[in-house]
Amino acid sequence: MSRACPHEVALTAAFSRGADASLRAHLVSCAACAAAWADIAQVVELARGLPPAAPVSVERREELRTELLARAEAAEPPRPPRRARWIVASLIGAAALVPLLLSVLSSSSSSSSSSSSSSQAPAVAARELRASLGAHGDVHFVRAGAQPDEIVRLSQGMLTVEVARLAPGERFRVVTGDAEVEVRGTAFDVVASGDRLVSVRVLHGRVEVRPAHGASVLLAAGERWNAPPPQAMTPVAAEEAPTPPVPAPALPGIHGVETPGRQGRQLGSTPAIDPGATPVPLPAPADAAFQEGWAALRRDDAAGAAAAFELSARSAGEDAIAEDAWYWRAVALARGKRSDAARGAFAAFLDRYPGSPRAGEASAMLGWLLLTIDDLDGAEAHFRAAADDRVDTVRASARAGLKAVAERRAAAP
Amino acid sequence: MKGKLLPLRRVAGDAAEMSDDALLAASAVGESAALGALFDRYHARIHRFLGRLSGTDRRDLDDLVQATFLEVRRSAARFGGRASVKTWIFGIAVNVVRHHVRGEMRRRAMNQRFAELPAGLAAAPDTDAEQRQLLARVAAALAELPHDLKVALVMCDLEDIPGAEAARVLGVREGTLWRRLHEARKRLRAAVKR
Repeated sequence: MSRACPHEVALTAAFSRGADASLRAHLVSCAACAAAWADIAQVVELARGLPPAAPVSVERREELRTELLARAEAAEPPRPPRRARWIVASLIGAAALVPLLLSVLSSSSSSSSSSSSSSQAPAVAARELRASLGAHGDVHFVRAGAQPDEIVRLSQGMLTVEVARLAPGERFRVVTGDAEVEVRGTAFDVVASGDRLVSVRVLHGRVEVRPAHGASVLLAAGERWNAPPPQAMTPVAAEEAPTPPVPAPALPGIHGVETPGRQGRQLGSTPAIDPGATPVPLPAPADAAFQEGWAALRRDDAAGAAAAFELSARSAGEDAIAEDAWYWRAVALARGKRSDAARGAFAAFLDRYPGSPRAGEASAMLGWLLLTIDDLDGAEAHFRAAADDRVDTVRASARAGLKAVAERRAAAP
Repeated sequence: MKGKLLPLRRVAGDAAEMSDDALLAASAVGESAALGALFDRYHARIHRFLGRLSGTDRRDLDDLVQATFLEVRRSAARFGGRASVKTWIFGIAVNVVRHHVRGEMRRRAMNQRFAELPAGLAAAPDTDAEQRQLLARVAAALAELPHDLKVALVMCDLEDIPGAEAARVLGVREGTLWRRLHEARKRLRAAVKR
């Protein structure tokens, strides 16, 4: 024996820290300690083999995040530290970080914040903003910055924003995950869905819309800009969707229900206008049904949500909101345990919108649904399609799915 | 008066470049964006940790996760740097669960639910019956552990938090932590050999 037998508590600690050379030598020569060591290893391995709680879906995570930040906004301010010098140190440190955070905020949704307001909230004057905000329905937003660079971070829903005249050097912005709206004394409605800018409608003043692709459009009072619909489908995604698409006939006469005052005008000599960027009214029935779908999801009424999103999508026809509505319908079906319908809905969504920013999430979710019916090839194809998604959690889900598929195949007779 | 819609920009993920300490310092003065970034970074691990620790259902688990991050915000200015931010957040989660267990969970038939076969195990057709039963016994034994023992085991064995750091955030001596871990492992081992 190379050394005296360690106390069993010391052995426990050594197992966690890692055995040193002396202990390793002892374990080779002492059968009792080696057996105790093996017992610990077995117990730890078994405990690690216990399944963790079911992972949180991407959309549920976003809901939790939104609720958390809303509660944080409403809660009491952070506790001060016990010692005065810590107060000074923290404030100095945090003050230095705020500009950095704001720059992060303006370029990344992952550092964004949001809050929710109840339906039909009256317009409220922002205490530290030059803007009054009117929330329509279930809106997720937060005032994330103060003058001289005020920011409203909008992730979901519709806000009416009235911006007073700004002093020199002052800015006001509405930020979504994929766009910014910067104004200098105007009023407008802005709509976001799934952290993407959906539409802007100018109430008074003027707004210049400059999408990443397509012509700039100058909007005057009463005019609207809608996000363009997704581009052409890819054959790969069509092959990956094994179930027939959900039919989505546009209801006749939806476009033009709310006639705009006038059409937007093309600016400069930019390339041909993307038809999706042409100011058209957001179909009111589609908008209302979409909001109802979200409200139903929040009260765990999955069936009601699925129906509302379907109504929204069918009402929207080719409007951009249809993409989000079809996606959330599929999510609602999955949440309602209607797996067959959810599989069909996700497949149809991917078939219809292969270029959607939500394609990765939809592929991953469809992969898991296919795994439950042992369609390993189908599941693998969809996990692979999601493996390079821009969202970390989607990529992680895809990796876990591919691992699960491999394990199923390895275990097959 | 004229507004301007700037060109669309994709997510760049810059928050990942900020340190945990920087985000916590910003949270300490009420910066919501920083709290959101910390949530993004640790939500999944805290969710898993709380699930193992509390054995509660999904809705309660969501509440516990939110309560943990609200407490992170409330206490951010008191972070002393004696452990990593990650371990410190785990320590907060432990206290949240302890409070939860003393309150709401007491009213429930906790042990009965914990003794049930975990859903994930039941749904795994490729796991043989003997192994499933073994894991079920381990799960039940883990659920029945006293809170302090369970915390020690989950932190050290399942979350790989160094014992010294775990002891610091739990406010106990390192020796106490090792004794708790030893006792927890012993009880699980007894369940396995039963």
